Amino acid sequence: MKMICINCPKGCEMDVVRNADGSVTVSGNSCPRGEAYGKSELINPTRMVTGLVRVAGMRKPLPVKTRTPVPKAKIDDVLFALHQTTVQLPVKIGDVIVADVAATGVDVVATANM
Amino acid sequence: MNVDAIVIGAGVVGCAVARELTRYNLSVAVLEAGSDVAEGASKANSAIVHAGFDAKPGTNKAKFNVLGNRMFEDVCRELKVPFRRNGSLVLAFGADDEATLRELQARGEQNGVRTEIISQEELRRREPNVSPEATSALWAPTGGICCPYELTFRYAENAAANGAEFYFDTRVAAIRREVPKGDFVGDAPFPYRLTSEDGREFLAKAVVNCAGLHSDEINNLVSGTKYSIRARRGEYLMLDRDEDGTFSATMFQCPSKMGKGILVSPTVDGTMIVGPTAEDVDDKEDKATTYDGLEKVKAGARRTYPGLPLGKVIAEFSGMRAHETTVGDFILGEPCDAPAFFNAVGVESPGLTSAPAIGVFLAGRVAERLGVSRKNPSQISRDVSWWPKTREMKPEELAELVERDPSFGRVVCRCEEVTEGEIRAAIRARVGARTLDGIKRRTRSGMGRCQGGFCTPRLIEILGAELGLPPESFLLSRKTAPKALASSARPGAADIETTLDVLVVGAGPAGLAAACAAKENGADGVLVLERDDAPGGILQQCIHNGFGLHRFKEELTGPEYAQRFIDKAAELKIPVVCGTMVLDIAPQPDGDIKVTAMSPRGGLKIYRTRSTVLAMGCRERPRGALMTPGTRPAGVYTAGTVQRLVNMDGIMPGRRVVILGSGDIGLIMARRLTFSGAKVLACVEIMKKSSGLMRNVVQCLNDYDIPLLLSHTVTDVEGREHVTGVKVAKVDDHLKPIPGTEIHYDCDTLVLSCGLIPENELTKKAGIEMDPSTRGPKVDANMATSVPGIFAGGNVVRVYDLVDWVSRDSEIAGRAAAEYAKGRKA
Repeated sequence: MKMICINCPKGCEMDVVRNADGSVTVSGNSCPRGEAYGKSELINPTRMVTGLVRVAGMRKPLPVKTRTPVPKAKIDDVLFALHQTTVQLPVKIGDVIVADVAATGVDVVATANM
Repeated sequence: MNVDAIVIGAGVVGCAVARELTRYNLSVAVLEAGSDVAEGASKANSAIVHAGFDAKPGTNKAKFNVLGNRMFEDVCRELKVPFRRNGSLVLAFGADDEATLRELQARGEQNGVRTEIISQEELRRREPNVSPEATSALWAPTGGICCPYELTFRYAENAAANGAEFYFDTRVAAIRREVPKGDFVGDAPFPYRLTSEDGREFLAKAVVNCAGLHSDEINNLVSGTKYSIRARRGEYLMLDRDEDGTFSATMFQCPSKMGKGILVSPTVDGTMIVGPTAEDVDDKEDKATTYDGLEKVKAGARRTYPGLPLGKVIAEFSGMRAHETTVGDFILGEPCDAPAFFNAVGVESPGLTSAPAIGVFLAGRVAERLGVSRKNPSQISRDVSWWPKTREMKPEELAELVERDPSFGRVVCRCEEVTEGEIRAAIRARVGARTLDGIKRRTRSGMGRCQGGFCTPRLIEILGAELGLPPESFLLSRKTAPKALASSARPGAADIETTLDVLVVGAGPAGLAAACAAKENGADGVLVLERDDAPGGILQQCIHNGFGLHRFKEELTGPEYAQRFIDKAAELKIPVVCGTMVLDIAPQPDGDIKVTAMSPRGGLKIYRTRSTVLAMGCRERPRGALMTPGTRPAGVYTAGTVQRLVNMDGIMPGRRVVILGSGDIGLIMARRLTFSGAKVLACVEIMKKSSGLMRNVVQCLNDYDIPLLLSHTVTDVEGREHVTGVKVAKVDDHLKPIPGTEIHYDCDTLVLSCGLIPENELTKKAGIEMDPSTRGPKVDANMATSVPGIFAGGNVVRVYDLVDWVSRDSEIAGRAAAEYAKGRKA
C-alpha cells in the first residue's frame, strides 16, 4: 500500500506491505517514526484530534486536543463528545477536559490558558 | 407620512438634491431602495471630476459638467470631503488621435473649458511613467479627483443635519397623482402618493426622481413621456497605495473607433484606479466582474502605463452607468404632464461632476414650484458629522485626541490605519453605517491591501455592540443588516517605559523569540509591542497540532507553542504591551531609532531605542490580488479570517464551502470546517500540485474525502447579497480557463487560501531596502536590514513553512540586536 507519511512536513512517500507471516515491511521512510506510522496506518490508523469546546458564558471557545492519537474510526465520536461539552473557566494548558473520550482510553486536554 | 418634497434615490445626485432642498423652508424625505447611501452608480465609478471638454456643446451634460466642476472646491470644503484638482491628460497615440485631440480642444472652447495640447517631450517631463508610444496629449488643468461615496455620504449627513429624513430599504413601487390634470397648486395639499414595495405610504407636494438606474421606471410610473435606461457596466481594477505618485494627472486615452479607452488615475486616497470597460447589460443589478472584462482593462491600461504591476492589484469591481437610450443626455426637470414631479434621469458620466450643480438646479425648481423661500442662513446647519481621520493627523493632535477618547488609539484596520473611534463615529453618524460595506465606504476600513482579512472579525464585533445585534448577523450580507439600537464601550489596556536597548515589534513567535534571545544576550531594556489584545500572534488561532517537532521534539498545537514563548518572556521579565500599534519607525541622526506607537490607554507614545527587531508577520493575499471574476457578495473570506472566526470568535461563517487555493491554512480549515459541521465541497488549485504540505493534503482532505481539483480555478462567483454558488473550470498550461470544463457548486462560502505576503508597511516607511523576491526586507546572516540597528525576524522577512524556523531565525535577530545595542552603549 502506497502512503504519504504525515509525521512531519517532509511527507515521505512510503510503500507499506503486509508479509505472508503477518509482519509489515515499510520502505521509503526516512526515519523510525515513518516506519511506526506506516505499520499503524495499515493495521489501525490513528489521528490526533484537535477541536473546540464551549466555554460557559463566553462566545470564545476553548481549544483542546486528544493527548495521544485516537483510532480514525473514532474521530466522529470524539467530535460529538466535544460538541456535548461545556467547560467552566479558569482552565490551564494540560487540564483534562474530557476523560477517556468516546471510550478510546485517551483524555482530551486543554491547549490554551483561559 | 407626508412631507413637502420627496427625493427618490440616495446616490450622489439624490443626496445633493436633498441637501440643497433643506436650504429652503421645506420638509424633505429621501426614499432609498438599498440599505445605505451610494449603493448604486455612486459607489463604483472612476471618481473623476471632469473638466468638461468632452461633452457635446449645448447639452445638459456639457452645461452641468462645467457648472459642477466650478463648484467642487467650495462644496468639498463645506462638506469636508477630499478633492484634488490634479488636472487631466488625454493621450494621443499617433496622427489620427492628434486630430481627435484638436476636436476635443475645440469642443472644450465651446463649453468654456480651457485646455492645451502638449508635446510628447512635455508629456514625458510631467508624467515620466507614461508610455513612450503616446505622441502628445490634451491638458485640462481643471480636471480633478474626489471620493464619490464620501461626497454622497457627507451630502446626506448635512441634509440630515438640516432635517431631511432618510428611509432605507424603501423601494418605490407605485406613484399616484391625486389630481388628474392641470396645475394642481392650491388644489390638493399633497398631490403625490408614493407606495413602497412593502406597502408603506408617503405623501408629498413634490417628488424628485434621482433613482439612477431605475429613474426610467420611476418616471414611467408618472409621466406619459417614457424613457428607457440601459445599464452600462464598467469594470475596474484598484491598485495598492504603493502606486501613489506614478501619475500626477488623470490619464485618459483618446476616444477612437476602438471605444473611449481605459483611464489610469490616482485617487484621493492614494491608490490607483484603472478602467472602465463599457458593456451594456440586461440586468441592472448585475455587477459581476468578468474574466474578459478584466483582461480588457489590463490591456487598455498597459497602453498608457506599460509598467502596470498586476501584483499590486488589491481589488476588482464593476459599476453601472445609467445610460438613457432615447435622448442620450441628462433629463432634468418637470415632464409636461406631471407638475411638481422632477426628473434627474440618465445621469451617467459626468454625473458625479454635475451632481452639485444638478442639486442646486433641481432644488431651486422645486422651491419655485412650491413657492417657498430660502431659509435664513443662521438656520442652516453646516454639520456633516465629521470625525477625525487619525491617519492624517499630526502626532500631537493625535495624542490629545486619544487622551480624550481612547478608542481613537485602537487601530482596527491595519492597512488603512483606521481606529475604533472612527468606526464608532461612522456607525453613530446621522445616516450611520449599518453594514460592513457601510463602514468600509465611510472609513476605508477593509479597503486596503488585505481587503478586510484582518479587520472583518473586529468590525462585526463593533457593529454588533453598537447596534445591539449578534456579530455574525453582519456576515450574512455585506450590504443589508437589520436595525436596532444600543451602545457600549470597552476599556483599554497598557502602560509603558521609555529608554530601551531592543524594541521588538510584534509578539508572535518571531517577536517573542527575538525578545527572549536579546534579553538572554545581555540587553537590558527589552520591550515588545503587540497590536492584538493578547500575545501569541497568529498561533493563537492555529489550534491544530504539528508545531514544534524540531525545537521541542514534540507535536504541539499553535496556542501551546505560543505559550512556551509567552512563559519564557514572562520568566525573563520582558514586558509585552498589547493593544499597541506601531505607526512609525524612524532612524535618528544620533544613531538611535524613534518608534511611534499608539494605544487606547497610553495614547501616542514615542520610544527611543538603540535597536529594533521587526516581527510583524505576514498577511494573506486577498481576493482582489487573485482577480477572481464574478459578483462581490458576502461569504468570501480568506482562510485566516475563517480560522479566526471559527477558532477564536466561535462563529461559523457558512455550511457549504468551496476552497480556492491549497495553501496550508486552507487545507487546515477544510478539516476544521468539516469538524464544525460544514460540508467542504472541493479544494480548487490552479497549479498542477498543492501549494500546501502533502501531510496536510492527506490528513485534511483525503481523510474526509474532500476532492482536490488540481489545474482548476474559480471562474465565477455568484450571488447578490451572499454567495450562492461558484463556477470552477480547468485551466490550460498558461493558467487560462478552458471553455466547456465548468463545474458548478451550490455553496454559501468561498474560502481563499492563495498564499501569504510579508507585512512590511513599517519596514518601507523606515526606508529599509526590500527584496522583491521575498517581498520582505533584505537581511544579512545576522538578520540585519539595510538600516543600522534595525533587524527583522520571522514571516516579515519571508514566508516560512515552519514556525520552528521562524523562532530560530528570530533568535538570531534578537541576539544581533542585543550585540548592536551593547556596542552602541560602550
